[in-house]
Amino acid sequence: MIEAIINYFKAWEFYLLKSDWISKIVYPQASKRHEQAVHKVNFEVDRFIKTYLRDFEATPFLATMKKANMNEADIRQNVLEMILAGTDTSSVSLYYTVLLLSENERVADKLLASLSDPTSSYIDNVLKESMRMLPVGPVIIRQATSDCKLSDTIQIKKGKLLLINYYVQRYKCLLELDLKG
Amino acid sequence: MNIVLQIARMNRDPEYFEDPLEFRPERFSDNSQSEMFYPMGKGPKSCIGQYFAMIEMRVILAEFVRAYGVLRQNTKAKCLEIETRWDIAQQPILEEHVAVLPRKHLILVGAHSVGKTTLAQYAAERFQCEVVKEAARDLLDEMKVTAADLLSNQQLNFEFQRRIVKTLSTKHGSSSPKLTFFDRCAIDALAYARFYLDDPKKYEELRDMDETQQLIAKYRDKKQTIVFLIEPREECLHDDHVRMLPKNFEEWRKFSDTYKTVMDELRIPFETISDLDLNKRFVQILERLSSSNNRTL
Repeated sequence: MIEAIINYFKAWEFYLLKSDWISKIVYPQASKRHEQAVHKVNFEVDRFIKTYLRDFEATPFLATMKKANMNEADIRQNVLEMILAGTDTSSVSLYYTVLLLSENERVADKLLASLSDPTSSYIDNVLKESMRMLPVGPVIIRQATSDCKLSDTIQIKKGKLLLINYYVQRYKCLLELDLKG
Repeated sequence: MNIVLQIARMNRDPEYFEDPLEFRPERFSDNSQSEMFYPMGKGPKSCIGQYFAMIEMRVILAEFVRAYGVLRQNTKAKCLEIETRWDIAQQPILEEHVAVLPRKHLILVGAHSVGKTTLAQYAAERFQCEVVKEAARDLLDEMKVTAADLLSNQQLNFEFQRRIVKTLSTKHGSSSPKLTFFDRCAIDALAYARFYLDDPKKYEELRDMDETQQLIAKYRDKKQTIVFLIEPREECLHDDHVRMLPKNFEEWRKFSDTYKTVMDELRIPFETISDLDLNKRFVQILERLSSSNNRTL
């Protein structure tokens, strides 16, 4: 399963920049391999859903989705995301944290001392700071599902395939956009 | 249309984070700093596992940091310059070698001239950790006496061992929660008292002191301490004119056995080092440390 997830990510990277039909012509072998990887993961997700869809109370995760009246497509997407995003993200974050602590003795000592104080939130700050410096997810990718105007010069249209490198100052309004879903 | 938010770049923007290349967790103690910080996204499409991930990382990190210190082997490149590749997560390309050092106190005890100080320095250099030096030499100078004086004067010897324990109880009590080597400890004072003082009551008096009892409790605790007894070898017997020297190897051997008797009676677990080779001795300490690692986690 882990291997299937790794291959899925390779496929995802591959399709992110190349459109489906171009890649099929230009890279027929790679294209076939990536297609198989996607199928493999989808197959596993299907099997999971089919097993548990009969019993929504089996896990709190499924029960919550049922309560929120999600349809099968949404549930599928959430399960897929759980499997994909839950692989190697917190472990690599911890790895970076430990490395950064080895480099910053002052912080390491302060963290150790803070552990005896249950009200201290220093450990959260350490984790946040390491995620800030070495984030495991360096970019967030979103697709616009409707037209949207950010400013007079920047407009986001639905359906166009475009990668935009936004300038730092724009981040705030983009995040607000993301907030609206 | 795909929109790409460059989280990594945003996180290093000095407009939002002062001195962005400094590792300074304190910046998050003020909530305003978190306003522009979204490692797991924001809004309805944010990471579904973010709360779980935070709890998981908090628990693992806390347990790990409590038990171990980490020594990075590659000191040339800073962590920030780690080369990464985007696989499932942004992962490091090169393997990093780190030494995981248990927060333990390693105590080397044993008769004189068995190589405790040499071994402590040799090992500490490799672990890049500290050595707490023995108290006896400084105390001899302070009391203006010699080892020979102690052997000839029972009362003076008892007073000497008593003062050693008192010195150690302040020194060993305040030592840091890091991997540290101790060259001798209160067990040595007890062994000397047991072997060289004729009156067994004097040994008991020394043993029952509050300071001694506190130290013994620490030596017994496997989570905090590992005691190594280095055994004498005929090859390294020589007089350095400072310490007490037994008349012959047999007496030396017997004195070393006193350590075992004392530690067995006080229920202090210990490991004997009988190899003469410095590197083999070091490897034995290393193996003992890594086996204690396995037991803790």
